[in-house]
Amino acid sequence: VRVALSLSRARLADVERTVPAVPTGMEAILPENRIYIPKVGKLVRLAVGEPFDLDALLAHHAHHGSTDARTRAHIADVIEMKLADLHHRLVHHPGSLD
Amino acid sequence: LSASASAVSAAAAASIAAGQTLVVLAFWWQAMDEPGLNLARAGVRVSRATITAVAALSAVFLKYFSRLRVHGRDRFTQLVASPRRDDADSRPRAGRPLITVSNHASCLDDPLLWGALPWADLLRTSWRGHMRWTPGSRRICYANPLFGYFFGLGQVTPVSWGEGIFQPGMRIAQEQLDRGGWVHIFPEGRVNQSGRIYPCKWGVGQLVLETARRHGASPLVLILAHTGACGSLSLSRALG
Repeated sequence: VRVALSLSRARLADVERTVPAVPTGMEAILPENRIYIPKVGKLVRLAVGEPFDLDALLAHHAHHGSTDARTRAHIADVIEMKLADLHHRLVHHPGSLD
Repeated sequence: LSASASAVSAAAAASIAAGQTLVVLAFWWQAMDEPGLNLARAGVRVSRATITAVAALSAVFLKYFSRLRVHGRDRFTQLVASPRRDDADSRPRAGRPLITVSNHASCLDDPLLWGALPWADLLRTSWRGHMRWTPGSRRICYANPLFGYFFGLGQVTPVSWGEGIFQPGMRIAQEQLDRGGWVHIFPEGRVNQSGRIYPCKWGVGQLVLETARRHGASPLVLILAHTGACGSLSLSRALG
């Protein structure tokens, strides 16, 4: 039930946009207001990456005359990779940070 | 159960009251600098006061009511915070635009994360109006006029899924980058507690591309990854 609910919750906005019927009753099961009350005493860890710029990537795409759509998709992919990498290191290899 | 529920609601009421008191106090201090009434300047000052108050509450929660561990706090502070002991117009990073990017594990990620900055840097940055601008869900942050007013003062711009990378909320973020400002993006575009990173949307790529084009220099990008915020604020907790 929990998995099904979280899945349907993740897709809720899609459903609302594509299907004219808005699901009702979800609010009772998963009250929106409850999730804004934070829990105290939890361990919160934050990893700050090395700052970088994308000059080389931009120059590469300018040289090859890429479309804007291709360039920005590539930039988003690079950022996704770096974010996933840092997140993975934080979760599984925190000793490799610092 | 009812006892714990009333304790929680009392804590929520206390923090709201503290937040409102902080906003009023901060606005009063900000207004002390401004002789006469100038509505545009007053709006800026209310915004700075709101951001400072929210930042202070976030810092209190993160520093004293959570266990916080930061890897790389020094470069975080150096990039994000206003420089010390300069004149009030001094800009962080000498005016070079900054895009910070992070995963999105809870609804309160955005204000809470900045609470990891050292007190003086956090307060100086928000007080001088150098805090981040960030796109936020129109469906949540702008659900009603009161929320919209609050999040607007907090420099959150409204964005919606399916309206593309040139929608007004993204244009506002772009304008801030053009001025050498700081924009924070949750590129996954949703709260994600799966433990994995979802595919990043293209808006962040467009911001980098267009800033490089307009500003002459491409923006600095800083990746922030965090864990534990979803323990503080779990979506599934409400299911028991």
